[in-house]
Amino acid sequence: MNKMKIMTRNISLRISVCIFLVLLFFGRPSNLFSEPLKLPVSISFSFGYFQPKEKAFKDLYGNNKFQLSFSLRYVLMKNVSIYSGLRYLACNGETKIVGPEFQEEKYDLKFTMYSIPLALIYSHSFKNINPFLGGGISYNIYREKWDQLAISFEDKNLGLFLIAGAEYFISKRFSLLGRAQFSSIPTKQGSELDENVNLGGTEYSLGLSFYF
Amino acid sequence: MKHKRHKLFMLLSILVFLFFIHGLFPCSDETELTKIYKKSDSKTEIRSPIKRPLVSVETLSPRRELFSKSKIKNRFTRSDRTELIKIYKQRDASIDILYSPEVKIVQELRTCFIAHVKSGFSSNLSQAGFEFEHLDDDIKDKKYYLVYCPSSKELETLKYYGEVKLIEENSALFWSDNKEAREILPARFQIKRLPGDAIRSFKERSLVSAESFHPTITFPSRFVINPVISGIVNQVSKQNLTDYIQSLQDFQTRYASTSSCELAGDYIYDFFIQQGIDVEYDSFSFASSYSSNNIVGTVEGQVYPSQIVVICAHYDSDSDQPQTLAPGADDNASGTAAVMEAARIFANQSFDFTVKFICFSAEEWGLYGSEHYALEARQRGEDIIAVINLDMIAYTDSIPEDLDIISNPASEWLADRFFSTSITYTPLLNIFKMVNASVTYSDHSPFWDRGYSAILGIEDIPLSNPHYHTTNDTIDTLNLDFTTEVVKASLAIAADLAQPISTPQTPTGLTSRSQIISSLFSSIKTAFLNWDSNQDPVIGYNIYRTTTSHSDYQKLNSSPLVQTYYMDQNLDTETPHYYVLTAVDSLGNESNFSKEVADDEGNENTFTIEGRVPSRYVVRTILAIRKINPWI
Repeated sequence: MNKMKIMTRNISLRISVCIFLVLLFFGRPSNLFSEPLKLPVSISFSFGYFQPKEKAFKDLYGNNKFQLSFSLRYVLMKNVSIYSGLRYLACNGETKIVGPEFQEEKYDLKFTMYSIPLALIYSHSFKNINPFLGGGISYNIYREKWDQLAISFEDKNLGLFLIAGAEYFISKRFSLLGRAQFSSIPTKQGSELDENVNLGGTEYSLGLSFYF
Repeated sequence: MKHKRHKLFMLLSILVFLFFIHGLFPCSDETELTKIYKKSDSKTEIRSPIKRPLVSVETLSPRRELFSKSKIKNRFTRSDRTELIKIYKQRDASIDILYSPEVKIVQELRTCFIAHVKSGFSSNLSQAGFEFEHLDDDIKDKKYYLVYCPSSKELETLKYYGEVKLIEENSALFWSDNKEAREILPARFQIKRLPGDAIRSFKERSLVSAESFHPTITFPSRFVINPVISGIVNQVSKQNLTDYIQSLQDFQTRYASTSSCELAGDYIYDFFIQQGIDVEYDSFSFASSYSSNNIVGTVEGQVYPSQIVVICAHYDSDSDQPQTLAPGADDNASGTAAVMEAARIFANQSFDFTVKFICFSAEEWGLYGSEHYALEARQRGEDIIAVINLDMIAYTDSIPEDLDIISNPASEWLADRFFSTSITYTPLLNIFKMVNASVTYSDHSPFWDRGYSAILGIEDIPLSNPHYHTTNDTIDTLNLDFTTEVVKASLAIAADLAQPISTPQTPTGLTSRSQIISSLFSSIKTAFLNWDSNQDPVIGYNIYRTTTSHSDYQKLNSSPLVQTYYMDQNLDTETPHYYVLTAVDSLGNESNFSKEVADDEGNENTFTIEGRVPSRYVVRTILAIRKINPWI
């Protein structure tokens, strides 16, 4: 468990360092926002993988889970924008026996989570590359359902996240998007497997943005 | 200019980034530990841990946290002194701390616990959410007693004899160095000596100061009038009871420590022998220089001899002239007579479970005899299902008199069972049920302390007999019609619990194991039950389940099960479940219940307490303790 956490932290650290190296050494001011946009808004669709940080989550649902997200950015001032959107995560898994096991007994599980993030993003343009860094809160609605038994659990919780990434402009209005997000969603809920589940983790995604 | 601004922004970015990294990866454990040890080392005097900001420790990683917390605690709790404190029961407090090796609960009362606590540790109780009160700074070489104090006048009288602390409304803690309370206090005071070692009756539910004075009717789900039990009840003889009480009164005094008391013990022993039941002396010493005997008669169970039902009373007496005259007809020749009559009638019966008839000695000295027996029973791992203690069951201050049945919250099922069997077999007797863990002044209390279910049957709480502990407590002041009804009711419940042998034969070999299946937010439990095939021809078995041990059994199967196993799924993991089994023959007759098993009783768990597989919450508690102290 600790090793996994350390590994995740190391990877996150490395990605952050890389982004800032790009910022430091290869960056130059770009003229992207020198011309006024019709609307200071961009939308993006992305897909990627979510790596949960909770061991119990990994045990039940696996490590890399596919996710989709839609996001909106509203440019407040030259380098600062508000970020929001919707993230959808769905995964299937199997229950686990805790403690003594006398007979194999498994039930299929379905987990879904919708997250609405709200963050402040700082970005800077270097030619066609637009790296960004930000942080904020997320509102998360999640549901876990047992397939064969009428057991389901539903709740809502606030979480915190940090986001870092970069956009590569392939045209004036379209950009390719790559980003990493580190989130913590403490639920203060749990089961015999884990008393306090944190639904956070690390996400890596790629997508496409459109600037109005 | 633009370039300068850009550089300034870069510098700012680096600073923000470093700040972010710093927040993401807090300072290393070693650095933090060093800080704490430096702090600790700089303080030479011993200070209360509450003054030390333990908060800083909480930022450590779990393993280091365990280590450093223990280190810090040890620094402040090195004193050898052990304090006596009163811990108030609080629903929202964390009970784990009470299982800590530094805390030894020696008495549970309705609203509080009395505990031995290592000096300096008590402040940790505050952190766990418990309010507490210091009773005595050092327990060394002292004997403590609970004393019933119904009025402030009595409390003032008590102060004349030694140290007194009011514990609850009618209970005071009394001590006078190492002196025996019975030897210095007037006979009218009811006393209980506090055990020197930890009790095991307290459980999570005990944090609620449960108290109930309303009788409830709880029939087992399969309750039918058993003609064998009716026959037993009908054999109770008022004349016999009169003779026994008279014989015991004729010893002049049965004050423990007198030879006359020992002769009374011998009389009971011989009586049991005459009935043809196994009997033994259970010898013990008390008050440093005295010894006495509990008299233990046994009718062994035919199917489950290890399951024991106890019917008991104390045979010693007290008065204001204890060495020469303490007739103790009501207190407690009446209860002893009930046990003797039970032995006489049960000697000719066969039961599934073992029945023990115990007459305790030295009750009046502070429950020495029953304390000795209950502790040894627990150490032997005796599976005592129920204890029915009868003390003062012959005086009536008003007609009709009712019998008060006293239980603690854990034994409430037994009080309800007494009530239900009583209205079935002895409808003339009125029962008043009281759930109050503070009624500790009789021989049921040491059984509560050791985690057994026990009830007290008594004519009145508070006591109404004006001859209590006087030389006037004689048979001519008693109402033996009332006693006869009480004995009938007591034998009815004892027989109901012990189960007279019937056909088809009671099934055996019931075992249960349970496993927990979990997702992220939900857990369920599955119990796997197995049992032996009946030797008698049967068409199947019925499985019953309850969440309250020994009562409210609900049948799980709609038709008799042909196989000898059953799987009970989708159970709540937080609730203990108990199972019993019956066999059904081709005529539709259903057997007695088998021995009751808890859902996890057969789990091969490495954690055991005194040879028993603990229920899951105990295991969790052990784990919680290990979190606090990794060396346990």
